[in-house]
Amino acid sequence: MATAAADARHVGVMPSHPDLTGFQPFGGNGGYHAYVGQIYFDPAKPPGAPRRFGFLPEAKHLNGGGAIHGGLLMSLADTVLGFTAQDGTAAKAAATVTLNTDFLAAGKPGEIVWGTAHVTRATRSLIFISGELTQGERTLMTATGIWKVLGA
Amino acid sequence: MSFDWLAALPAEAHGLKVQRPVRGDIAMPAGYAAATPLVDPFEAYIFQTFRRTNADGTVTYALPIDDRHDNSRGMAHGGLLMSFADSALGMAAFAATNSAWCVTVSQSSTFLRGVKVGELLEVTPIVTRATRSLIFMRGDFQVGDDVAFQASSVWKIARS
Repeated sequence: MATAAADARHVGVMPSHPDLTGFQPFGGNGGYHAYVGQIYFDPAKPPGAPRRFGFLPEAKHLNGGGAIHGGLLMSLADTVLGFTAQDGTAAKAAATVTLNTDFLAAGKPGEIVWGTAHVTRATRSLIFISGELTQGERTLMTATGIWKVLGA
Repeated sequence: MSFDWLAALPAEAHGLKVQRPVRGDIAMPAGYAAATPLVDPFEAYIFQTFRRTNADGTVTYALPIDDRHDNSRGMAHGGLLMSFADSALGMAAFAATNSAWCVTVSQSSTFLRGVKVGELLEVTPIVTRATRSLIFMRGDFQVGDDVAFQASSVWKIARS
């Protein structure tokens, strides 16, 4: 049985994988991310290119067939696109209204899943985002979504 | 409250190892039974779902939102709701195809309102259409009578 202490073990944990050197843990305030597994982002957003996110899938993230569970990939997409919604606009807080996800290929454990996204259009109250998750040369998921700017 | 069903889990189902939920303290909602056998390690790790067969033969799945699911604002993370949709619509697709192994091809998710930690999310999945190779599923996920989240998904029959 998980305990509060065990649940908190991902909080603020710096990346151990060499490919994630210099990346920062997203959301150090506990909750779902902290429990499910830390997602990291590149603090140095390259000009003209989308910010990169990285996640290292483990055995606990798999389905019965040994592939990364679809729910985990959709969770990553929600975080990558949602972060980008606020990152790429003036919105202080935004909530997911829709998220459409296509599963192109099965993901495997032990290899980093990379995420990128970009803002397609931003109005005063809505932000339209598109993004993808890749592993090696393979695209695992493409995603589009609409975020609502809270308070707008 | 009884957790006898945990001890009664089979070791194997459909040729796959049955997973034990990592949390044994999630209470079964009244009128429900455990939604088992669970073969996905991720689902065993993140939540405990339950199922109920209704008088009309439809099946309702339920997910108690617990502290693991908190988006740190007291509400369930969107990824958790989508994971439950993948699980519940998948179990219903599996049942509708006479236990074929199905994989998600696409899921569309709509978030109508937040779901709080402590609330019970319920869905009665609907098979919209089934072809030889694809199953089209949908579901309204409700807290009481309030639709909080909607999902529709397309499943590919990987093998029978």
